[in-house]
Amino acid sequence: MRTGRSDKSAGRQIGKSANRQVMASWSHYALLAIRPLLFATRYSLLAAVFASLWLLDRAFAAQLDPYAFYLLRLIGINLILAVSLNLIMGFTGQFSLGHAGFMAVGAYAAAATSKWLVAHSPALAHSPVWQSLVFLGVTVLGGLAAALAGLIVGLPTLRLRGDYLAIATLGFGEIIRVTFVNLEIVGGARGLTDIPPLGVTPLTSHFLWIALWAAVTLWVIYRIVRCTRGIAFQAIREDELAAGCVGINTTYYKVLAFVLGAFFAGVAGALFAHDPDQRYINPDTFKFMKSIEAVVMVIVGGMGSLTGSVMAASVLTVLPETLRSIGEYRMVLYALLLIALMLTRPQGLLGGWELSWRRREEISPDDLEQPLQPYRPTGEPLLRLRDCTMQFGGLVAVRDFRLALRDGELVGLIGPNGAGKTTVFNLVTGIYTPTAGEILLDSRRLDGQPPHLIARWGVARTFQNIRLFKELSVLDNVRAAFVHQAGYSFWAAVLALPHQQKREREIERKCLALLKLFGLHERRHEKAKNLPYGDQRRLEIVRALALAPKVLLLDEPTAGMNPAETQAIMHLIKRLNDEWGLTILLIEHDMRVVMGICQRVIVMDFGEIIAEGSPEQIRTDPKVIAAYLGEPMEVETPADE
Amino acid sequence: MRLFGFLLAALLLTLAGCRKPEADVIKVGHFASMTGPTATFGQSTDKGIRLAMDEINRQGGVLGKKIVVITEDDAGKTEEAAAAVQKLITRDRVVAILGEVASSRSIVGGNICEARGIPMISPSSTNPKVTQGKKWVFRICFTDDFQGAAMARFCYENLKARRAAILKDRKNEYSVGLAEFFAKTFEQLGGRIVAHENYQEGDVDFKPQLAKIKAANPDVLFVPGYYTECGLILKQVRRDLGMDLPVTGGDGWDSASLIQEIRGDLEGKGVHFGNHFSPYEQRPEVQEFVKKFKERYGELPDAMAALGYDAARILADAIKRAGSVEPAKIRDAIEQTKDFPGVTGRITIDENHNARKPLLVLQIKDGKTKVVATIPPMETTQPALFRGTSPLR
Amino acid sequence: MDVTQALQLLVLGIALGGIYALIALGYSMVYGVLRLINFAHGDLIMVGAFIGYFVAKSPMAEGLPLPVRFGLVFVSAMLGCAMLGVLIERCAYRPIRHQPRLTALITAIGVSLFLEYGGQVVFGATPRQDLPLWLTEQNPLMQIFAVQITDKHLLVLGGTFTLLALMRFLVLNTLFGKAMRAIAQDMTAAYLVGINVNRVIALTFALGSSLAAASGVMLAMSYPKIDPLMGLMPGIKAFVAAVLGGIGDLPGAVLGGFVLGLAETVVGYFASGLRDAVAFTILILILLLKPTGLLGKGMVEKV
Repeated sequence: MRTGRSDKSAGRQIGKSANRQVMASWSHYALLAIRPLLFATRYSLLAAVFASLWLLDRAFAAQLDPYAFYLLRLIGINLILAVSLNLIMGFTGQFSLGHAGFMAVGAYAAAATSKWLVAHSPALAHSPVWQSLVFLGVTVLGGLAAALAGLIVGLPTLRLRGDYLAIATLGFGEIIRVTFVNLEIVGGARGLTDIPPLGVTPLTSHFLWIALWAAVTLWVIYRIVRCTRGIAFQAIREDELAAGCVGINTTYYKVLAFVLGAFFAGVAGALFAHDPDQRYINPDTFKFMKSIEAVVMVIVGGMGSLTGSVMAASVLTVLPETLRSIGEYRMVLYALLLIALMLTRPQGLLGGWELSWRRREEISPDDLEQPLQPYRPTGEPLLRLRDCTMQFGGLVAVRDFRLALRDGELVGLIGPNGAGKTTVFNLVTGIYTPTAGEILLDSRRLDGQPPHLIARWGVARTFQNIRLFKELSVLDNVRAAFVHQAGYSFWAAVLALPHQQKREREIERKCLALLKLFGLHERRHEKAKNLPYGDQRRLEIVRALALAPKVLLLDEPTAGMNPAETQAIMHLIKRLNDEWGLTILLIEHDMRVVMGICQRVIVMDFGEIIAEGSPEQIRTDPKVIAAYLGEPMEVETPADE
Repeated sequence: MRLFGFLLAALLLTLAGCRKPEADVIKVGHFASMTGPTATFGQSTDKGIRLAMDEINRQGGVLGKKIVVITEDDAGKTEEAAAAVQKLITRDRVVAILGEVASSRSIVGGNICEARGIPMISPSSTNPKVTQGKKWVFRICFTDDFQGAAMARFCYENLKARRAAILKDRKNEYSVGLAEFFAKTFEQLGGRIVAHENYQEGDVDFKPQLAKIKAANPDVLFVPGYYTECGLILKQVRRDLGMDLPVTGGDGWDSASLIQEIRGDLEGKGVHFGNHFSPYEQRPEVQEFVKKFKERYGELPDAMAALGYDAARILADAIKRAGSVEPAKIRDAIEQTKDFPGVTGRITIDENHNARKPLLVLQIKDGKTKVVATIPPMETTQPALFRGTSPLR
Repeated sequence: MDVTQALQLLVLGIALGGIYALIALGYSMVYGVLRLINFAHGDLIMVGAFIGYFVAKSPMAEGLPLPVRFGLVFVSAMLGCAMLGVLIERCAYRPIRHQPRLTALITAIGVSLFLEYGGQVVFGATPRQDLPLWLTEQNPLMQIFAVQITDKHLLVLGGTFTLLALMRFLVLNTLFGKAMRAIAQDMTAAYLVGINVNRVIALTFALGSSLAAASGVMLAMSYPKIDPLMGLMPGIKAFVAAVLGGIGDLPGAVLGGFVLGLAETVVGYFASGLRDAVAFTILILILLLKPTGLLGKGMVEKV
């Protein structure tokens, strides 16, 4: 759990006072009472699901046509594959065309182990309990082996993007397959035969095992993706750069998605290998075509929709079987359907829609406490840039940039397009590493550090082109800033432990409070992309504030706004600085804003600072006029609030 | 909702496929590679089987009922073989199964028959593993420990080779096993294996491997693979690498499409392969069969067709002897098959569920085959390595 | 390993590499303009091979002198695939031209599957090995240290380099080539300056597909066994070759093809089991060490 830090600036106040306020609320006592009940019900629900599955299995094992039973098992395995791939592709947005490779690793690891175990302890055949335990162990082993493979594949390849990542994963999938072709100890190209069907005992059937694992997979991935920390995955998919700038360690989450996805693919492989009707695997089962089948399932179901994956797995398993009657035309039809789907409905059958349980009690907006507390700034230098130079090959974008931003200041950074202003922002936030120079926050060096660390240390920013997480809701956009401050592990989220639940509610309160303060509470469930332009800009600022930053960098916040909207944003920024003592560095082209609210202005041209001083000073500076401002003009002072 | 409906409908459809067994026919299943790279294997076997069963049905059938053969295609893929056998047993409720030609696929199909208690006769799978440790699986051909040894003998004694190179298909139980037995015997006889290279079913380019073999300077090249690759290999040996050494193979070479091609420059110092049968054999049963086959199908039968024919007849005979269509009784009857007059020789099922039969060595010349040697069954015991039973039955 | 073996490997590697180079050339051309990995490229190879096969076996070919027969086979295959390529582009790729990359990728895979399984329906799944002798026989032209160099080797090499030179000329020295390059840089801007984008893209596809067809015929000539799935592996390997050389770069594709051919031959000689892994290992290494390929130029993303 994170402990509070003794920081001086305004943002840090958000955490402490909020907690105190919450405790005082009577409705919270009510929740306290209900919570243990919720906890119990959640697990008893799970137990009930498992029990009914077992009963169903016992009842139908004898009745059902073995072929239909086989199909059900196949559906279950494909479901696990599709859902696990959905985590990687649908939620985290990483192309993966090598999923079959992970399945292969799991299948071979599990099958080889169980063959060895069975050969060395014949007693296994006589004890259903032991057999089941061994099967569980062997399946988990398969999953872990696949997860390891996922780590090995993921670490180097996840820095590639798009097409290149797709091809790299394809390559790895094939390399895994060829490795197994050459491993004589597991049968090489001829495959592994006679795999003991450990899933079959007097008490259990293989179908039961598959159903249980499918339920577990769905549960785990659902919990992970829905909790606040899980927002990281989708944030990365939406905009990896922005995700980094709100404190999300993108590499960690990408690799985690890969490893988790691989784990379940391995489980699916292990289950497939031990199927009593198969009992045989060979490397060709896990060819490129298998990976494609998994990808097709995810896409048809809809990327980012677990329900969709379940549907697609079912339909796409049964469909080729029912089409068997038309023999060789079967696959041609399959291919045509795929093309048709891409042409007409590329977002899949369900798009991003998800079947969701009834929502918990909504927190009433009147019940929220103030997210920001007044803070008296110290005036000490907070952010310092010393002789920073940024060079791209032959082009020098920024040269010898110096800045000493004091705690509580509101400084403007202006200049013609291409002067290097956004580059300075990118340097501070870690998107670029300066070719020369230093950047310090308090006494900590920022240059050379990754963006997510810089964000956590207290530097938040908005972007010139607005980089919101478009498909996520307004609320989720803000929650994204809490990923790194979540304060619980993924294990806690999966098991729905009480402290995780409590923490989720706290985070939600904070997010809602922030949204309310900036007038976005009404639209909290809308997708960010559907917001009007002005609201989008405001949302970006709210997301930045959720980081509880020491410094806020705003990149052209009023771009594209009409005068009324501009006024509103101007007031907001001033308020952030006046009332809540936030240190702000502002890039702007609108001189009314700059002259109106900035205490100090820095002017850049061709990568260098050409002037610095108070608004009045630079307004009349001839260099500035020549480079940027043009004729001196009348500037209106902001209207009173 | 529509999707749920669809799913439900599909499930019901498959459930509906559950039929009651019909009382007045005996259903027998045949799983084979009717399509895919080794298509002639399956097609030939099927032709032989059907010729036999139609004959039997014309003469009144077995136990007063007609025999119906249901053929499932496995497209030459091992996974599909498993599905095909499943289908035959569960959906079609066959009382026995015939198949397959390829040992890899027979092994997989055999595992399932073993688990389900349905007798299976493989007409032409030669790898020992197919019947090893099994109670329900049989074969009516010789096994590869014999074939490999026999071919090694042929190379050493007839071709006078002392340095042998092997190019095998490592994707294939048959090829791997046959190569191993060949190598063992060849070395026992005093020869040396100077090169041992691999390819994979489906490959088209064998030149790097052949270059290595050429560098080792062998007297004979043994290619225990399937006809689909062997043709290309031979062409690359003769034309791309310019080697004219004798090339030998096993029964996997038997396919009209391959044999017709081998003439002229491809013959080199000789192309030979071991087989179960030759349509040119002068025995009366063989010529009878060849005539019937030609009448019906317009072509000469190959070994697979002949073995299919024999396997089908042995199965029918076993059902007659068992006096019942109960799988267990059929199995017992097959086990007791003795001196059955087959087109491919007198067939007795031994204690390992295999048949001991002679091997014919055929030479390919001018697109045709001729028998150049006959090797009688040898006393070969199955190597200890392969003895092993499945722990969980 | 002595000189003979080394030379033998060199000859084999270059012969193989020449085919990969030609396939990679087609791939690179299409990717360069459309940023689309055309998975169906491998299957166009197959279609070209089959067209060539049928034309070669048809009575049409019989009376004609040998060079004319070759010409007929090549031209008909190339024309046939060019038309098919244009059709595919029109029906499957144009509608999704502005969709995200993943959609295009999946559509390409769908087209590939359609051609493969459709091919199995139309041509049958059984491989055909009865290609006419005049098409496939290798007549040795010279012998160096017991290593044969045949007429087919020269045909493949000659064909590959001629087509490379032709394509290069087209891209760099013609107005059409300039249009192609413009579209590659910025499609919207190309529209705006009046380039008939649809026509240029269709023609690019036609060119790429005809290159695939030529590769298919050469493949059939060198390895006389054709079946509907024959293009899959060569397609993927040639794609690796294109990435190796720098995808979008035409000489790079050819270079990559030769490098891959040699690497595969050498590895196949020493460890035949690892041959298929060569292509993918090279792919991984290149993507991790120099994603832009041996000859490619880098692209910087502007924030």
